[in-house]
Amino acid sequence: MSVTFVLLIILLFLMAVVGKNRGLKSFAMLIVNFFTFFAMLKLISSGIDPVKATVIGCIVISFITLFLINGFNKKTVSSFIAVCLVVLLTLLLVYKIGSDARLQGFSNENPGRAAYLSYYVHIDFSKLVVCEILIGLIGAVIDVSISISSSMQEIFSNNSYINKHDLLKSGINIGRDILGTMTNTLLFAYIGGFMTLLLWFDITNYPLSKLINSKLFCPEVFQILCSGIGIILIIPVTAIITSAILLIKFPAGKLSDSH
Amino acid sequence: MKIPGLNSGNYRHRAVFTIFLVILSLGAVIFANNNESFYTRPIAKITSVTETHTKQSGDIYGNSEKIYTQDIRAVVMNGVHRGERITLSNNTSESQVFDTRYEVRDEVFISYREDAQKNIISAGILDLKRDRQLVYVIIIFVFLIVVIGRNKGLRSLASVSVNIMISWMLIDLYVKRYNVILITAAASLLFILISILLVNGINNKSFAAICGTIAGTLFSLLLTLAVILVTDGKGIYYDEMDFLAYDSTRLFIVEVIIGTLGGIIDIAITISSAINEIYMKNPDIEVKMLVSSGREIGKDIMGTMANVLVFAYISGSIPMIILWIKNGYSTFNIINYNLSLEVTRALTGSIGIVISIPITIYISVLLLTYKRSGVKT
Repeated sequence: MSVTFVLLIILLFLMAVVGKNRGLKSFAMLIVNFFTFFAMLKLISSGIDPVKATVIGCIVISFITLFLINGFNKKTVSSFIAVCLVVLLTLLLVYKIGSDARLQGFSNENPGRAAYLSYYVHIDFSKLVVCEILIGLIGAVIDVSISISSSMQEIFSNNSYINKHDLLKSGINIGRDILGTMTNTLLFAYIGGFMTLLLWFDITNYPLSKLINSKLFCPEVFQILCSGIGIILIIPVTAIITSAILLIKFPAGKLSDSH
Repeated sequence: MKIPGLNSGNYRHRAVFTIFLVILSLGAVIFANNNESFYTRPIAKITSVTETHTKQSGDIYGNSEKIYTQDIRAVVMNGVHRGERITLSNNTSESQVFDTRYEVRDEVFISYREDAQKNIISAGILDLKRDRQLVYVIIIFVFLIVVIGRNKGLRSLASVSVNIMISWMLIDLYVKRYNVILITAAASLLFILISILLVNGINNKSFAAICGTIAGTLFSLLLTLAVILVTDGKGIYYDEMDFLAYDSTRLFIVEVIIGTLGGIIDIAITISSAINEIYMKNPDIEVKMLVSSGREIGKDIMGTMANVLVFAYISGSIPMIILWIKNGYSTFNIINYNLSLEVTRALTGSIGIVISIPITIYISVLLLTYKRSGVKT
């Protein structure tokens, strides 16, 4: 048996033991998300515009993650809207800078596994940069968003007379509490994958003036910073949307307050 | 960006700080746009580009696209030839996998040859100058984190910066061939202490979170090692790391530990804070109830947190996956062979997250109830 297969079984077992039913659901969600991701890449390689395919992919992934695990209710609907908005907002904010920096593809200095492949493949790799950035941050943005909207929902159900202004304020305060840990989570996740390259920079004594302009280094830094931008943006956006949606009085039965 | 409802607090302090930040950013932008003379490598600014379609590429997988030649005119921006006009040539394609399509106003690093009179006879493009864009993204990031995150944003910024410095030290020590296991353990401990203490302060719940993180990381590490040993490393292909003359398995383990650390810290802080909160609201709560509330919270967060790691890890492979698909690899082969490192990393990370939930719960509850029994006797 291969390592990945054994690890997959262990993960399934642990999720079932620790999380019972919801653990199994979480496991299913991970698998479905993984295949959604692959379907998105298949679409891109079949010639669909990478940016459009990525936006659609992100919407599908957040739909699955939010509604499969947390059910269909006010907090998941708010988070879903907020995540979609932030995906578009981040796209607008970093698209121009990212494409100006020409971060696409691979560097001749260290092509890695791309060296052995045919690379005139008729796909605009400059647009894949956006795809990388958005996919890298989508998980984190969903996580921050659902944490904020759940807590706001909790505050609202403990005190139904709270006004919109105060609800919004506590939403943003909760977001600020999460901000630090989540930026670190992503930082470590990226540095973990980036270490081989960092080692290479250190071994070859890569000069700093070359490093900050290099096609090997810049894309990684861009990705970390853009993820940070996404995590920060999701805080006010979720707080604003959740405070608005929680205070709307829906006809009974249409949208319950909790699952 | 002004958010309604957040205008309380010290106005004057904030105004001074904002002005300071704006001036600093403006300075950085101006510097990034006019720093050519600080580089020793010659830089040229592109003034015109004429593009001609030269040939059509083709391969055995049926991929085909146009290849262009760009005739570029540029002005040298620094060094002894400053102000001189030169012509450059560049090949580019539609995909731009290895090549770059240059545009007017781009700045590029060049190399040139001189004749005996020190006149440039020919010049070639080395790479694009990207520092300007890097500065822009850094400014957007810092601005947003300070404006929206306020004090806590500044604190996050501080902890991120410190963590980056520690990572750099870790890599430097690694290159100097210090004992990998020892320096990774030391660095991880520093990461854990700094991240948790900076966010939470020094108190009981930080202590629980620290213990939970250490135990969770150790457990997932030992588990991965055991699985790699038992299966004899079958199904992991290290070819991605071949270019380094280091023990790939060992380096991979270090990467896994560092990559998972953030996620486990996050989980441990959430769980220990929540249990602490519940206990404070009702100090006479039964241990069993406390544990089960902890587990409910754990169930809520484990899926989305595992999701965070999976997407963060896999996003970096997107261009490679597209190339594989276009080179006729099947999805099964890509997932099983080509992505084995990324998939292993994502799975170990998720396992670490799930296992640190019960560990943190028991440590938090133990610490709280130990204190309670200590007070009673």
